[in-house]
Amino acid sequence: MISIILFVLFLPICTFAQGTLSIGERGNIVIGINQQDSVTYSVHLSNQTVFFIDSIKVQDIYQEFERIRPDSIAFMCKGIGNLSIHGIALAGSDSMTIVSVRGTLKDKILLDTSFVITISSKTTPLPYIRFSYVSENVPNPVMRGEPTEWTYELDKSGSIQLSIITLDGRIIEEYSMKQDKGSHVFRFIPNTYTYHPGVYGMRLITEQGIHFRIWNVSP
Amino acid sequence: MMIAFFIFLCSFSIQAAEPDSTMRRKPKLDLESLSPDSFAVESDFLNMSIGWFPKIGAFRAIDVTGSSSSFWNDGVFHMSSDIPGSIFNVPNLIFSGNSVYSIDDRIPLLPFSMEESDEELHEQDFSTTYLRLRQSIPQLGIIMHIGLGITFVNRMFFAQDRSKQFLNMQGSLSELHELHEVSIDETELISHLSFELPIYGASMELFGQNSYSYYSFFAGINSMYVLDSDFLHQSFIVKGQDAIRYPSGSNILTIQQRSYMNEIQRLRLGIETGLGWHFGFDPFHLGIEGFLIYPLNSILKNHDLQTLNLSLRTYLGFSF
Repeated sequence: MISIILFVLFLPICTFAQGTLSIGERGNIVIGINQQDSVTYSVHLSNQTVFFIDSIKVQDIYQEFERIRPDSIAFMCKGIGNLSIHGIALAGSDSMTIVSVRGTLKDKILLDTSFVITISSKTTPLPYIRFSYVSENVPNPVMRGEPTEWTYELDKSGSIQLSIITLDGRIIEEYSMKQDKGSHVFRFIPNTYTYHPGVYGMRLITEQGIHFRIWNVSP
Repeated sequence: MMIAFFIFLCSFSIQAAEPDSTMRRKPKLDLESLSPDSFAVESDFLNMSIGWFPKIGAFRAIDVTGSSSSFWNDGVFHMSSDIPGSIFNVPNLIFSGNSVYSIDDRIPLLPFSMEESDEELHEQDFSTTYLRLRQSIPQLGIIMHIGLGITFVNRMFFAQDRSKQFLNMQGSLSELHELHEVSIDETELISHLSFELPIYGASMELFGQNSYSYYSFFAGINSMYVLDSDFLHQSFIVKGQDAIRYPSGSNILTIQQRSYMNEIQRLRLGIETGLGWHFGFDPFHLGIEGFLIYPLNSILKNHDLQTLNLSLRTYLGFSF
């Protein structure tokens, strides 16, 4: 019941302080009045290439936050007053992103709302596309028969090719597929017979370039 | 015997008289009053003029004249700075004729690669070719030029945009710098009338054949009529190109490409002046001229935008 009352209190004052932002321009989202201490907030961006959150304030007090992933942050609110999220409009792969904000206190949802941030470019039209990129695999080194994962991001949908290769360029395994833009995970289990302990490569070929990573199979 | 002796004595007297007569001769010319650098010789078969402001003999020649950017530089100099981007439909940028970025920063790259592509790179350019009549007017000591030709000129304007950032794949912010380039590529019909004053040199007319070598100053008026004008607006990623690109994957994005005939002044006037060196040995004529064309009106209808041309040209001509 309390959570419903708080949600109703929050809802009318959740506003986006500015209209369309230009690339390079700073903007802020006024979420509302945080009426309780120690409320845990999670903020998720549908497209992290469009808006970069760099500070969060309650009244004029900066809040410490943790960037869980490039598109997600979490923080515990300290203080009571106007809660606002500040950031900068980026040259990204789209002209809008949805900011989802959820506030919880002791497993009770106090706030669950979302905003749309629209970005415009006054000079060069959007979008921009970043080169493809593969993260280091986790875990690395990997035991034979156990999984390891690479994370990669695509700024536009298209065909991709993932290859497990030896250091002299011989392809051991290859996977081709079409994928949507966004963040993806490639999960791989090196089998006992093919993968002897040593150093291998993982190559990602996309329409946004080629990226290569070294990984290890442990004895 | 007496006669032979008399002739012998007479010959001595003639030899002895010569030194005396030389000593007593009054010089007809005051050599010191003559400038050794400048004199003229006139006779029925030889006319010669050497030195300052030489008199060039009568000739009439048709020249093929050419000028190209490769001679020296691109030949286009901008007279305006801080050109508002609104005149190019890019209201948020300020353009100028110069850029801090080198031509290497504008080299087209292959999609999502740092390898250079074979795509053509636009450069500022000025070249002209025309036929010119040169007619000496010995009575006035000048040479008249009348020319008609064609000029290709590509004027370029640049604006920087350093306001942008992007999220790199490592999750942090990186700077994105862009260079906007506007080029107005034109084909112009050019006509000119100018007069040339020989400053220093030599001219000789021997048995009706004219030959000369002289330096000159010339000035006149040019009129240009634009036959074709194309507008191109491109954006280049000059910082961050190893991590982010335009949707095609290239570091270059064409934003506008269209005919520019409605926005420009088609008829333009300019004052042409310069210095030249000319050599002629009938029927051949050749020379090199450094020239400057100073504009008298704007390139565009709605904004005062002027460029002057400073370049070198050479010509090869034949008497007729």
